[in-house]
Amino acid sequence: MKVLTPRRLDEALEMKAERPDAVWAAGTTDLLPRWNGGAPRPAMVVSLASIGDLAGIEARGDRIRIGALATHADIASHLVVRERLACLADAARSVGAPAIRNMGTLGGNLANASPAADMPPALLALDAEVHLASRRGERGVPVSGFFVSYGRVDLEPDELIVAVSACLPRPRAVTWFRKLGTRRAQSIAKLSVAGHAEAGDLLAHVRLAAGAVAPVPLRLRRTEEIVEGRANGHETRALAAGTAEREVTPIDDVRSSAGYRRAMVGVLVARFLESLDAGRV
Amino acid sequence: MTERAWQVNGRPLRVRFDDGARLVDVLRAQGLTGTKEGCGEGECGACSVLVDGTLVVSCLALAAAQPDGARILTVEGLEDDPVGARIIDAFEDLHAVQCGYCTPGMLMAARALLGRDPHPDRAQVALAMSGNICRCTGYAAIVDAVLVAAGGEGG
Repeated sequence: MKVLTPRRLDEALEMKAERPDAVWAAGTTDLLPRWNGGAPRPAMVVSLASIGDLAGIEARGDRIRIGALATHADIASHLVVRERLACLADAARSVGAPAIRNMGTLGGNLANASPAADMPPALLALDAEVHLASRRGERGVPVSGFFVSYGRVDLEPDELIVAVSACLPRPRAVTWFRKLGTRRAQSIAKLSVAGHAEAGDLLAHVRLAAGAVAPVPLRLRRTEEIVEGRANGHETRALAAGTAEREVTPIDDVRSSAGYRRAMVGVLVARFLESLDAGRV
Repeated sequence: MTERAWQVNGRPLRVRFDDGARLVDVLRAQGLTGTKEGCGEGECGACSVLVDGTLVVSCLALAAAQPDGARILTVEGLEDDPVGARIIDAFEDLHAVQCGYCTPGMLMAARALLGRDPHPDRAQVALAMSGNICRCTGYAAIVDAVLVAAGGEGG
């Protein structure tokens, strides 16, 4: 295996354009367990570790742009993320353990294409956009369109995830993330749910997403539609829970069962809606 | 092959390794065998070291991704560091070592914590050590020792 370590983005994109079979490497927290476990190593790796200007987090006006090489620790500790994007801060905090959060990057978490990844549900609830670059230019893809199928993302062989951006939620909005695992640290999610809504007499701008309950991180669009504009009472919450349970397609695996996942998606969606009420004084 | 010039435990170290080598293997090949490999999957924390002051698991780090000039602290360098020495003393005093295999990683996680937060509470210590597994399950004494090293409760 040959490892290239470009210092600039344009160098990196040039290398990948010439060797589309090369594999991007960032924090290597997903790649190395795979290789240590015996998976074939690629002939060439382009390590992004030395490209410092892809790690920045910038809040400007009502938007935030997070560089693809920002680590989960960077995101969890960023002031604007903590104050305005609770779902994203909580998702970042729930990844692995301190050393893993120091190494693993946002871009890597997305590129790894796991339906159980922690960041995608939070990003889906924020209507975030993924920014991709190649020698051919840049393009943006909504996170909701980025996860194509199990293990596959909308990324051409010569493209690199360079950033993720989102609108900051409005001041009245609440964002929320919960992950269920066997323990708080070092767990891959049994399932996770992220929510975003404006608290008021009627539910508005509702966004719901879940992880580890479908082949891809999933926006719960039917549940969103059914609760939008309703009063946030017991009936609405029961309706939301029931709709969410029918909207997901979980499987039995080593981490959990389809039945538990289905039931808990409903519970967590209802808890998110309850939290909106708790926030009102 | 890749060559790097790092600062390891405060001293310059030139290393040469296969491109795909992991940081843990490169360090151990230099005789720095205090850094242990446990799970090889980043789950147990036994191989924890500090790179530029940040805690990493060296079994999941590509050595080639650590640039020239990277400052690497391993358990062998901890005694020469005032905070590190306090942590080692507290682990000894409180018998926070059983079989000892997890100890280097525990010490490094504690060093990373006290580097950014000199006075953590018990919950913050537990959180900072949450990626380090002790199969002897000696967690209470380990957390106590970190608190004592921080000059707070425990013991």
